[in-house]
Parts: sequence; structure tokens; C-alpha cells
Amino acid sequence: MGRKVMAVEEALDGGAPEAVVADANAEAPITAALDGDGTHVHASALDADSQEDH
Amino acid sequence: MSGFVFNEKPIQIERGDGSYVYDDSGTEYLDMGASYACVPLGHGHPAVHEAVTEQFEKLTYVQASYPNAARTALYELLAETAPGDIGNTWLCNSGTEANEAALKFARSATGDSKVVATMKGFHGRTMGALATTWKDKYKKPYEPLIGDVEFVPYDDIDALEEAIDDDTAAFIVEPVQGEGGINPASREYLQAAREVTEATGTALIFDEVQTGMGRTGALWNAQRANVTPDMVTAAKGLGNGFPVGATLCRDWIAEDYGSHASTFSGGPVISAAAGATVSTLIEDSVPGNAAVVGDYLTTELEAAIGDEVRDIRAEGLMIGVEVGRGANKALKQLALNHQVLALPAGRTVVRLLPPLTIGEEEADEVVEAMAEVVTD
Repeated sequence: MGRKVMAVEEALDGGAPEAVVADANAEAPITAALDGDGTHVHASALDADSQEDH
Repeated sequence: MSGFVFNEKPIQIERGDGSYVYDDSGTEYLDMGASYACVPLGHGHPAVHEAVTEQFEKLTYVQASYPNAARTALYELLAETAPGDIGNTWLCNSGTEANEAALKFARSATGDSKVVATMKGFHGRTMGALATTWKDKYKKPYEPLIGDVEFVPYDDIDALEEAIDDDTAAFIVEPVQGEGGINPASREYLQAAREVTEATGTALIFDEVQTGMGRTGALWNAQRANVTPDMVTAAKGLGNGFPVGATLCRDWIAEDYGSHASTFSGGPVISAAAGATVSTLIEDSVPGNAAVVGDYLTTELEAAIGDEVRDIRAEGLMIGVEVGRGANKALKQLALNHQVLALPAGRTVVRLLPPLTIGEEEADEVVEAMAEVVTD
């Protein structure tokens, strides 16, 4: 799970507005994920966990 | 009573000497952050102390429109030591102001408005500079910011060439991203940036607020990349702890910069501090020490913890250790258990920006502490 979280953070840090952790074994996995399956994480979720910095 | 301070620490620092600071109970800490690279010569350097004291006794402040020897000397020193033919300086009080000015100068000199900036870049927190800073967290509460800013992936030549056109006023870039995670750009990228901006009449701005003043092994990183930008901005280490920023410009920018100004631009005491800092950096070959000790520290870190961490990225004494999730935990352990003060760069990177005067002994201290922390 740690790796999935880290990958999500990297995607959102890199500019993705949203990342989805979804089941690759589902039928039409990408379409299903885009339709709402899996766990969706929005970029704003990072704000609470990120330090202020220079 | 309280102030607006982010990331307040549980350690009250009262005194500093060289690479070390001391808290109110006398505990000694190795300062591997130099408070965001602001003391490249170490704490309490005698040359800066002497210059500031002498100037303070003569004249504390006079507005910039009256010529003053300390300010003139700083202008001349910066012109002599700047990359290439950059010969004009506008002085201010901080890095964000230096970048704010650079963006304004670029718009004035080119007559264009579009600014290209990089993903994960950080250029400051005033409205204009903030608009070119990547992280949404810093921007969202203050929107709308200035418009016409396009972000491109860092170190990606194709994306840069696609984004910059004849209507672009400026491309602003850190040669090594600091807040974004210690990401050094390739020399090819920086040179390509020079070529595409030159071809389109775009002002190339190197934000050297963190990389400047010898941090990466030369006084300016632009010199390592063999690039002469149209503007270079500096602050942080420029005054060795005194608040001063600078926007250094080539002639075509300075000749058409608009009407920008600041009341405290180049006050005599601050100019004396900056002049003594830059002179000492050069006379004592401090950037060379940053290159040598930086290489040593990076090599030792690779040997000690290279297999335990995700990545170690460095240029001179600007070093990032990507520890994975939990940089904050590592920083806390370094400070409280090993008396080593470091900085974060995002959630995953421990950032080391020590005084550039450190030696191998201090580097060994850090390696030992990092090894214990990352294997804990």
C-alpha cells in the first residue's frame, strides 16, 4: 500500500489533478476507474500533508 | 501574542558560530540548512561583522537616489563577478522581490506578457513571483494571481521549445530546483533554454536565489552551465544573513526596465554586508570548497545510505536525500537525536544546504547521523 500512496503523491505533485488506485483485474479496468471505481485522490489532499517551504 | 511563522520548531536558537548554532540551554547543533542557505560563510563571520559595524557607524541608511560608496562598490563587484556580460544590478530586500522585478523588467523590455515557468519550480510568494511558483497550496488562497503563465515539465527541452514563442516575455527557471526536491537541470537543457529564448526575443531569467553565491561549486550556477542569461536573481546567501536581494540584468533589459523601485533598495549597511560576503566568497575560494566538500559528502552518503534511500541528488553543497515518505520524521530525528539541523524539500526529501565553509569532519558527522536515521 505504501508504494501505491507514494505513486499517487508523485502523480499529484507532478501536476495530475486526480489519481486513481484501481483494480487492474476488473473488466475494462481503465474505463471502470475513470467511471468512478477504485480510490480517487484529488490534488488538494496533499495540502494538509505538505510543509511550507522556500 | 504570536507571529505568523510556518513550521515553528521546538528549539530556540540563541547563538551561532561558524557551522554551528546553539539553543537557549547551550546545546550545540550542526547547521546543515543554514536557514535556507542564508549563511554561506557560516554564522558570525568576522569580515561581514566588520563591514557592517564600520558602515553602521558612518551611515545607517540613505535612499538609493543618493550615490553611496558601499552601494557603488557592491554594484561594481556584482558586475565584475556576474555571468558573461551581465553588468547592471537592481537591489532589493529578498528573493521574491528580485524575481518580481525580473518578471516586470522582462515584460517591459520585450513588450510581451506571457511567462513560461517550470513544474515544481519555486520563485517566491509575492503575487507575481507566486504566479510562477508551481505548488497550488501556496497559490490557491490568493487567486486570481497574474495571468499568462504557462508551466512546462522541468528539464524537458521539447516541451520548452514548444511553449516559448515570439510572444513570450520570459522563461524563469532555477538551474537546480530547491523547494521542488533538489532537481538539477542538465547543462543541455539550460543551454537549449538560452538558444530558444535568444531566437524568440524572450528574456531568460535564472533564479539563483538558492543556487547563487557559490552553493553549487561556482559563484553562479550559470557559470557551471556556461550560459549567460538575460537576468540572474540572487538573495538568501547574498548578505550572509542580512536581507538583500538582487536582479542582475544585461544591458537590453536595464535600458528598458520600466519604472520599478523600492525604498530600501541597496541601503548602505545591507550593501556593506553583501559586499563583504561576495568578496570573502571569492577571496577565500569558498565556491571551490563547496564543490570539493559537496562531492565528498555526496559520495560518503551514497556509500553509507545509497541502498536505503530512493535517491541522492546533488550539485555542490545543495544536496537532497530522497528518503521516501516521512522526510519530516527524519528531520525531527536528526535535530532532536543527533543535533543536526536540516530542511525538507517536499514530503520526501531531506535537504542539506550547509554553510559553504564546512569541512570533511562536519560532513562525516552528517553521514553518521543520516545513516542512523534512515536505518531506524
